[in-house]
Parts: sequence; structure tokens; C-alpha cells
Amino acid sequence: MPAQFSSKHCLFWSLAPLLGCTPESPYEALLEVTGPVATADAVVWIDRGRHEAVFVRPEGDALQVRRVAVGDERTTVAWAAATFDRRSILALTTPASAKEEDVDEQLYRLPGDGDGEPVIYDVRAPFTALALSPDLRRAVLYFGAGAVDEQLHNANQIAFVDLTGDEAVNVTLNGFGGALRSVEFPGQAALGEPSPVLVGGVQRDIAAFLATSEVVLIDMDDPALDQVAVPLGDDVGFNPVTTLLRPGDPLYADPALFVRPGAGGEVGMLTLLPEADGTGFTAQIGLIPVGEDASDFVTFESATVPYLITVDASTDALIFTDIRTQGGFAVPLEAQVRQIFLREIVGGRQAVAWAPGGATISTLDLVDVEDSLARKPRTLGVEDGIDELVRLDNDRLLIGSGARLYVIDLPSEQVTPLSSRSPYDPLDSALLGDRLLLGTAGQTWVSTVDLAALSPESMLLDAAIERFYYLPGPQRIVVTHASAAGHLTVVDPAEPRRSTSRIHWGFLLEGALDRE
Amino acid sequence: MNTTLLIVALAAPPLTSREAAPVEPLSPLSGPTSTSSPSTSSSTSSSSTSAPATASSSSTASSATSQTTSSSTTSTSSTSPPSAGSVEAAAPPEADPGAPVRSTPASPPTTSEAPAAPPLPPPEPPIRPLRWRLDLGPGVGLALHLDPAWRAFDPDDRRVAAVDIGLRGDLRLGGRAFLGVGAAYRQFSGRGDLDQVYSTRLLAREALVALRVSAVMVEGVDLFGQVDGGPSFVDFQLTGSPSGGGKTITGVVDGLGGVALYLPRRWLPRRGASRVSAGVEVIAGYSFRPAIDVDAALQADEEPIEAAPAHFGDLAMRGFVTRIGIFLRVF
Repeated sequence: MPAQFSSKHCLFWSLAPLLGCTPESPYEALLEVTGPVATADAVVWIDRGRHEAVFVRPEGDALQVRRVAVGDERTTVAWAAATFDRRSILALTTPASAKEEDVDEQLYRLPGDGDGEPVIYDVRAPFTALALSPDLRRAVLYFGAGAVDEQLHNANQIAFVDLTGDEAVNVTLNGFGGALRSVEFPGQAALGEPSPVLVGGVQRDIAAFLATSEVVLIDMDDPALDQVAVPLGDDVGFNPVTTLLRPGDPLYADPALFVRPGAGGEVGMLTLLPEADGTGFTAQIGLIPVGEDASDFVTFESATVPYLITVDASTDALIFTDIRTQGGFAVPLEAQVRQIFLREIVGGRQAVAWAPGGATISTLDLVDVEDSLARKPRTLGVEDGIDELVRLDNDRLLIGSGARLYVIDLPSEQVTPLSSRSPYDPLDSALLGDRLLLGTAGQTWVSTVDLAALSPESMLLDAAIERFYYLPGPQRIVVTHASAAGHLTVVDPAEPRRSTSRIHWGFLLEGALDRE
Repeated sequence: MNTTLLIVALAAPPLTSREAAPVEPLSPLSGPTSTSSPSTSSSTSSSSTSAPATASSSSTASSATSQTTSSSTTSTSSTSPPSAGSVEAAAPPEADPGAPVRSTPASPPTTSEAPAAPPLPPPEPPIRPLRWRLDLGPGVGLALHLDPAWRAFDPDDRRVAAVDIGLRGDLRLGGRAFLGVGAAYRQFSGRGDLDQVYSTRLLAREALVALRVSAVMVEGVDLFGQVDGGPSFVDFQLTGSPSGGGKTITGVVDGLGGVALYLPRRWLPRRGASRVSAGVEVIAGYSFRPAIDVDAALQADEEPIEAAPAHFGDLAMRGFVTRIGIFLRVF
């Protein structure tokens, strides 16, 4: 019997069933699926073997599966990610083989539900990392720390991608040779809101590129403008970890970019100033002493003073620094702290600080913080310690602590422990009004907590959770289970019951037998 | 084949030395005639030709012999009583294509003076006309499933082997033609994998009724056309994570043609009296089944969450088929 024949050798196979002509089987190739990634409407897998994105969207009791081409047989999908607002999927295609010389790297922007034409950007390099601007207007592609499948590449090459249009701009950072480690958008604090800063009367949308011992600033609205590269290694002596941009205001007219090192008691302050010729901007560097070990920082404006509040992890204190004078004061907290955020309260703002692994949440009202008598930190005990902390909203926190969850209501300072037989990861949660939705990888339970009544309910699944998503579009919880062919359970968040849930499986191979 | 054949059966007992003594010397013509070649004793031969042969049996019976010869000569009637030197008309009662020529041995001479002849073997019964046939037997087939989807159930080959067993009855329509109906059970299966994610298995079981028209070219060789049809019960399994499977019912219609080779009666023991034969048939044609939806239900424990079936696509198990079968025939 002849061995496998290619189809071209089997021209007359249909008339000669006994000849043994055997075209290649369309089912021999391994199903190469990566993901999933969740958008607001669908859970998306990338079928790398067939160069498609598979959008899976619950619709009532049914499951809508939509396949969208991403690249072709000469390319492969290197990675995919959802945008901040989960309305789109970004997927980068690269040549499938180094022998494909005429194939350029392209970034696909696909609608979150898969319905619609993709926008394709020529980005011209196999970037390995993605940074998304919180204002939802841009993505920055760069070479991260991961391995690059290129014989030679420019480590400082980046691409600005306009997520509102169809253009991508390639730029090379004019730095000092430090390896790029991260990209930040320090001026953008609110999701979906453009937050340019005024530098010399010109609005600048600034991105900060943090490399080893240096920071490079670029105005994304004008990438061709001169870049501002600030060396920090020899002059300042630290490696930047994160940045924070304070726009100019009546208290301090010039915008300032604060750069925090990984360790140390100083924070870099880059005052952004216009170039003398008016063509761009520059930065004036200064160092602010902020205790012994600055582990986190925020900016705060009292009625009269522009403050930089820094967490000093070595002394468990909040360091208030007047950025104009670099003078300030410390507020010791009676608990371990490493991280901080501000929340709105009646009449002002409140600082909330905690430390991973700690057992206390500290709060400090900032209404009259200049008055030393008014500085009265308060604490909320978390008996089993803090593994993970998630801000549910302005007033509520969810803390994972071993096999327990704690729901903390900050206005009332109420701490409600929720015991479970197996630990929940608060990062795998979603808030739907007053209903907290929980599902942790490895568990077989989906739980909801009515935060108003603090009454939990749990539903047993038929298989262990791999990923937990809440899709606001169809308003369904989607729990994926381990399966190469697709296996998930759709749960009604309003009534998480077995009788109202529905399992779908094999959807990644839907219609597989109809392949040509 | 329907031509009446007359065979002269030389039923005279072998000559003994005692009987041979009074025999007169044979004429030159009598010598070859006495060798009793059937061809020389055909019904068209004249009485004078046959006379020496009969005369040679006994000179004392010359009158009787002469009478017999006369009877044979004048009528060549099949109604003549069988006797030495008689000729029998061997026409069958009904045309039987392929039936062997019947030859009935003649009775020994009944002359009172002649010594008792040794008993002859019993006459062969007449060959029955073939009015019906009943075939039973298994077969193996090879189908070429044209739908590429079949490769999910057999990654190496589009051909699938099937086994069957069937029973069929034929009735003679007249002449060479037979019309038959039958029933058969057939099954085939496949194993494969789907994108290296699922191990697949499919089993199809089919109950068929068949209609066959046969033409007997010669006894032992039939050409036929056949139409099969019936339900096809298909079970499929996909084993993986998670696993599932399903059952579905579709139909099948085969359009087939072939040749059947079987032992003719003349080759069988007891010849025309045999009622059993056997043979082999080779069939080729096309098998059609409507496409089935491979909708698999999730395998789950008791009281599971309701699961939607997974739709893996359509599978059309249709294509060219060949088959070889053996059968035992009763007629």
C-alpha cells in the first residue's frame, strides 16, 4: 500500500478508491490556542495555527463563536492583550519564520466583540511589550525584558500607536544606552480622560520611558519633538522604578515629574520647563529627601501647600514634603506600611496606607494635616494579615488573607471577615453594584457577596476554575476551565445558581469538521 | 440451450465370449457403429445405420430387433418404451439456462433369451428448473469517504472497511432474469484524533434492505445491479478534556453493481439433485448518506450543570464502495 500521497498525486482519487491516494489530513496539526483575554463583551482566544482570534460571547443560553483572521499563514500572533477599557483587542503578528523576509510586523486592533473590521498598523518590529495609556488614546510598543526572536534588534526602538486612528509612529529613544524597562504615562490619572499638562503654555501628553539609570520623556502629541533624556545613575545614583506627574497649579506653577527609585531615601523631581527657543521642553532635576526608604508616593494639595506624600517603609511613617521648599513633616503610623492611596471623604481627602503581609490598614485624614494636632491616624486590624488588597470603589476594600476574605468599609470602619474552605484571590473579583463576584483559579466555587447586607452565596461548579471574568456587555460571569478545546461555565451574576448556569465546551473546535 | 438433444444411450450389456460366438461377421460398416459413438446414433441416423448395431446383439431376436428399429426410425418418439437401442428425447419441461444436458441411460435389452444383465446405477434425477434462490453470507467492503471530515476519525486513510452479513432471496422473472430482495446488517468504524486534542471514535451500524436484479449469463456467473437502503445508527465519542459523544440516526442508500460467481449445479455432487451451492460476489458502486451533525453531549457526573452540546461540524459518510462477499446458496 502506498504511503501518504499528497493531494496533487491523487488527481483521480475519486475514481480509484483502491489506489491508496491519501491527501494530508486536515486534523493532524496541533490546535495551538493561547489566551484567553477578556474584553467587555467576549472571552478571546488566539488560534495561532489558523491565524484567527476566536471571540466567544455568551448570548442567553447560547454561545456565539466568531472567528476573525489575524495575519495569514506567513505570520504568527506573538501576543494579544485587551485595551484598558476592554473594548478592543490588540494582537501583534510577526513573521512565522525567519525565512519569511517580506513580512512586516503588524499590530491588529480588533473590536471587543469581534464584529467589525480590524485596524492594522505597520509597526515594523517584533515588539515584546505593550503599555496602554489610561486615557485610552495610545499604545506604546517596546522591547521588554523578554527574549526577542530577532537576530539583531534596536532595543530602544518604540512605536506609538494611535488607538483612535490607524497610524503608528516608530521612534528610537535618544537615551544614554540604558535598557528600557517600562513605559509610564505619569500625567494620566483618570481612565478615559485625556490629561495633558501645560508646559510653558503648550499642552504636552508626556510618556516616561524608564531605563536603567535614566528617564526619557517624550511628548506623544509630537513624537518628532526633541526627547528629554535625564541621566540618573551617575548624577543621582538610583534606578527609576516609577513616576508621578503633578500638573502645574497656582500652588506650584510648573509641572513636576517625580521619579522614585527602587530603594533609598530620595525622590527625583524633574521640573518641566519650556525650551528657550520654544520648540520643546526640558527638565530641571532636583532631589527631595523623603526619609530612608521611599516605597510609594502620591501628591496632595492642601489649601496652601503642594505636598508630596511618601511612604517611608523603614520608619512606617508618611513623609509630607512641600515640593517648593522641600521641607515637611512626618506622620508616624502605628503599623507597617509600604503602599498608599488617597480617597475622597467629606470635606477633603484621606490617605490609606498598608503593607503586604501586614495586619493593619492605616488611615489619615488630610483635611487639616498641616495642623499637627489634627494628624490622628487610625487603624483597622486585619487579623490574618494582608495578602492582597483590592480597591473595590472609593469606600470599600477587599482583602485576601489566607482562607479568609475581608470586606472593609472605610467610612464606617467596618471589617467583615468572610471565611471560606479554600482561599480566594481578591484579584479574581468583580464588583457589580453592591454585589461582589468572586471566583479563584483552582477552586470549584463561584461566590457572590451582597456588600449591602454582607450575605455571601456560593455555587458549586462542575470543574475547577482556570480564569474568572465578568463581562459587562452580556452581563455574565464566565469561568473558564482547563481544556485545549474550550470549556467554560456561564453564570448569571444576579442569580448564581446551578440551575441558571450553563456549560459550553469544544467551542474552539466548533465547525472543525467543516474545514476544507 | 433449449434445443432438444437426443442422446442415444447404448445400453447393451458388455459382450461376453459366450454371446459373441454366434455373431456373424460384421459388415465393414458395423465395426465403427458398434463402438456406439453417440454422434453416430443421432436421431437423424437412418434405421439402416442403426440396424447393424441392434443386429449384433442377437441374431435370434432379429424380428424383434427389426420391429424396434422400425419404431425408432419411423417416429423417433419419446413415447417409445425404453429399450435396447431406443432413443430418448431429452427436452426439459422448461427452459433452464445453463442446465446440463440430461442423459438418461437406457434400460438393458429385455430379450427373454438373454441372460440377466448386471444392474445399472440408478438413473440421475432430472435437473429441476431453477425458480428461486436464497443466499446467505458475509462480506467485507471498502468505502472511500470523500468528505475530508472523515479524516478526523481515521487520520491515515479515507478508506474505511465495513463488514456485513445478509440474507437475500431471488425469484426467477423468466429467461435469465432474477429479482431479489434481501436484508443485511453492516457496520464500520473509525478511530482518529481531532487536532491532537480529542481522540475520536465512530461506529456506524446499518440495517439494510436490498433490491437486486440479476442476469444469469451462464450458470455460475451472474451480473447484477442492486440498491440498498436503510437506517444508519452512528455513535461517536470524543475523548479528551472534557469528553463527550453522541448518537445520531441517518439513512444510507447504496447503488451497486457486481458479478456473482458460484458453483453451477453440474459441478456439484448429485448434480441436478443438489440444492446447495456457494459462491463469491464482487460489488462496486456508490454509497450515499446524508451529512450528520457531529453534535456531542458533554460527559458529566450525576446532576451536572446543564451543558450545551458542542458542534464540531458535519460529517458526510458517502463515496465509492467496493465489496467482496461469499455466500451460501440454497435453491
